[in-house]
Parts: sequence; structure tokens; C-alpha cells
Amino acid sequence: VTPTTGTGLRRCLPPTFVDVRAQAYPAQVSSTPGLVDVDHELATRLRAGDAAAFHQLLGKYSSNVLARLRALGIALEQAEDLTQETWLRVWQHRQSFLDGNFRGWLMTIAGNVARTHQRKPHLPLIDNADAFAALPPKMTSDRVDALRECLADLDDQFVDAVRDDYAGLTTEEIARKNNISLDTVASRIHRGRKRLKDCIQRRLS
Amino acid sequence: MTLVSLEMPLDHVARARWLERQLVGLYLSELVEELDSVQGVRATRGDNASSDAPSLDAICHDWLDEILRAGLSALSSDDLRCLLSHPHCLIDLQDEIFRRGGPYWDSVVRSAEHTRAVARVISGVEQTIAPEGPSGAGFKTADSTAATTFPVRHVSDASVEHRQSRRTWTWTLRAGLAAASLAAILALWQLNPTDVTWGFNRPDVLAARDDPAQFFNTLADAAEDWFLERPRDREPLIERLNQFSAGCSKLIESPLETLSAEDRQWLRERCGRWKTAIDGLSAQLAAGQSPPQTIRDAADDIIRRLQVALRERSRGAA
Repeated sequence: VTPTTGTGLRRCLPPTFVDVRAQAYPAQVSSTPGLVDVDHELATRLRAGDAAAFHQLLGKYSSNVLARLRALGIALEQAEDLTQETWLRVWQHRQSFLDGNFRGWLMTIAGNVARTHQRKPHLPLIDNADAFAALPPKMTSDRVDALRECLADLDDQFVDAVRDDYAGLTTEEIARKNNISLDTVASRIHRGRKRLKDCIQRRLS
Repeated sequence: MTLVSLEMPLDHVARARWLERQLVGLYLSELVEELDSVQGVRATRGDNASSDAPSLDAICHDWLDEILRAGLSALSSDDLRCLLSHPHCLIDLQDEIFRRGGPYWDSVVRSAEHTRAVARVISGVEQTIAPEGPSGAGFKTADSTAATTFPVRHVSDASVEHRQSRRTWTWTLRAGLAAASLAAILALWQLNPTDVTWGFNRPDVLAARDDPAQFFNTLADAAEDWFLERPRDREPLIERLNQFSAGCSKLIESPLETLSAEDRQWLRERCGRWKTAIDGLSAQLAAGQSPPQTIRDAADDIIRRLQVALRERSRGAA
């Protein structure tokens, strides 16, 4: 397993920070030394083939691996399988873990698993017709398309309020910007969201 | 679920906490797409982000370490706005949190859906790496106190890629869990970790600067808090189990400066086992595999045993 530095970090993080990350997982990269100590101890035991340490790390970090794979755009069902695959690779390659940041190493393996998965032609994951009932009603792209279409249909005053709200403006800031009262802002956001939600549900159904 | 972003609170503090849950949750990718769409920005993610997208450092700076240490609550409304107006950075921020984030991020509550998915993952890994006798060749136990020795059963790439049978049981399990899911999700979404002040979560427990013997006794006393509330229904019991588990996490991650290295190792290892056991009960309950009374009795037993272990350790440390 070849460690690689993260994905879009050079765009989003301070250059000095990326430089630190690139230095092959220094041991003290965590903002909490105690956390590093615990992980370091467990990872050292893992490298020696300690099943108990593996299980502790498995229980501790599986939720992060799963969330990371989902954030990389992998569907939940596949992300679960790939999380398992990540842990199997951790066990298989435990001796390649060098002294350093276990979580960084783990996330790198998860990223590699995701990239391998995304390069492959995919077979359907579903084994039987009944399983389709458990799928989300629409895929993400449909939801985003519906959102765009519904935004286009929404009155301008609601669109502006929702946009400002999503951009993180406070109700006070939106009120000042549009020279309207706080109650009006809250009402427009609330009504705008409700109309969007109703519209999207109609389109997705 | 229609849109993740429609649940975003208006209040600044509540929004920060909500965003923290999204950052460690299952639907960050969807949130980013939605924020991008609403703001009229082309959806960007990870390596596909356009090269001219402004960097996080260019627009908001000096607070990354603080986020990794203490979450988003410390951010001003300007900083939070900065994050929300550049949604693609949330994906990268998540990566940093998972690589370098402090224990605060472990205390951010995951949804019941997330917890159940993790339980399936752990179960799948354990099925792949099956228990066997002490002569097992692959998965040996270096720790003499660990209960089981494991051999690796299927670890070749080929076997990893062909797990149709696992998927079948996974789907069956999902169907069985559907009813329990909704109630458990609601219960967990209402749980605010910062409000939990019992058991190992009690502020005075980890702040204690007692000698080791007294510290172990303090922990045993704190564990007694478990018995102060006796929820009979599934959802409140899941919540209580998860709160106890969060306390174990907090204890494991804390520096435990008053203890010797040997005591620290002992406590962290034991606490990890207690947490695993409690998490297992929570997952069983969420899956409807056992009635609440049975799960509560099992949890009582675990906590009584952990109290005994702590008090014995206290005597040894005296």
C-alpha cells in the first residue's frame, strides 16, 4: 500500500500544511497527543499481528472510513463493502505500516480502495428484485436536477432568501442586505424551503 | 430523504453543530452538491474541482487547527459562512478531520443509520476473519488477555471482490432493520453529546487529579450513574447505551496523566472492550434482535463487571 497525500488539499488548505502532510505521516500530526499515543500503541500491536488491537481499531475508525467513502461519491451499499475491503487490506498490509499516523495511513488505504473501485467497470450490486425496494427512490443526480428545476420555478424573493441562507448569511445580514425585517427573512426562508421540498418530492415521486 | 440541506438550522450555533454531524456523516457528498447547486456554482468534488476554485486558505485562514481541535462551534459566523459558500472544501476538510482531528470529532454523534452500517461492516469483517482455536495460523493474539485467536479465512483480492452471499444477507438484514431504523435515527439525532453529563462523561471525572487508586474508584463511582435511569423502551435505551459508549471513547482518548503507563494501557484496553460490548448491545437493540429488557440486563452485567475491575485495579494501585 503506497501512501499518497490527500486529494484536493492543495486547493483548499494552506501550502505549509500540505507540506507537513507530505512528510510520510509524521507521528505527531494529530492536534491531540493523547490520541496519537493510543493509536500508535494499537497500530504497533497491529503490526505485530495482535487481533485485539485490530478489533479496537476496527471499532474505532470504521465509521470514519465509511463516511469518507460516501463523501467520495460511492453509494452506501458499495461503501459498506469497500469499508470491509479497506479493513482487510489493513490486516493484509499491517506490516507495511511504518511508525506514524495510523489514521492517515488508514484514510490513504480507503482512498486507494475507492480509486480502484471507481476505475473498474461495475456489475450491479443487487442480487434480487426485492432488494430494489430498499434503494433510495432516486439517485443523487436526479435529486440535484430536481433541485435546480425547482429553484428555477421558485419566486425570486424566495430564491434569494434560500441562496443567502445556504451561503451562510445570518438572518440579520439578509435583513440588512434586502432592507426587510427579520420576521420577513425568517418567513421567506421557511416558505422557500417548504416550497422547494414539496416541489422536489413531487418531481422525485 | 429528499435534500440534506433543507434540514440546515438557521441559528448559527445549531448550524455549526449540524454541519459537524454532516462532516462525519453519510451524506456529505449530497450536501456539497446541493449547496453548490443552490449557490449556482458548478458541482466540484475532490480531484475534479476546478483549478481556479478559491482555496480555503485564500478565503478563510488560521482556524483549521482550531476546527480539528474543537469543532466548528468556535467559528465566527463569517468563518462558517466562508465554509458554506465554498462547499467543495467541506470534502477536503472531512479528510483532514479523519486524519488529524482531535477526540472532539469522535464525540460527534453519528446517525443510527450510520451506526447500523458500521455494525454490518464489522460483522462482515468478522465473518471474513473467522474465529478459530488457538492453533489458528493467520490472526494471532499478541495480548494474552484477549479472549479469542483468529485465523484469516478469506483475504485474497479475488475473494474480497466476490462477496455476493454477503450482499444477500446484508439486504435481508436491511429489510429486517427498516422499522427499527426510523425510530433509532430520530432518537440519535436528538442526542447532543455536549449535554451528556453522566458516567464517564461527567466533567469532574476526567478533570480529577486524584492519585491512581482514587482515580479508578472515581471511575467506578461514575459508572454507577448508569443505574440512575432505567429506560424500558428501545429508543431511550439505545440513546443511553450510546451515551455510555461515548463516555468510554472520551476516557480512551484522554491523556490520563495521573496514571502510570501500565495503568493507562490497562484502562484504555479494558475501556475499549467495554465500549465494544456496549456498542454491540446497542446494535442488537437497533436491529430488533433482542428485547430491551434483555439488553438492559446484559448492559447491567457488563457495567457491574467493569466496576469490579476498576475497584480491583484501584486496590492494586494503592
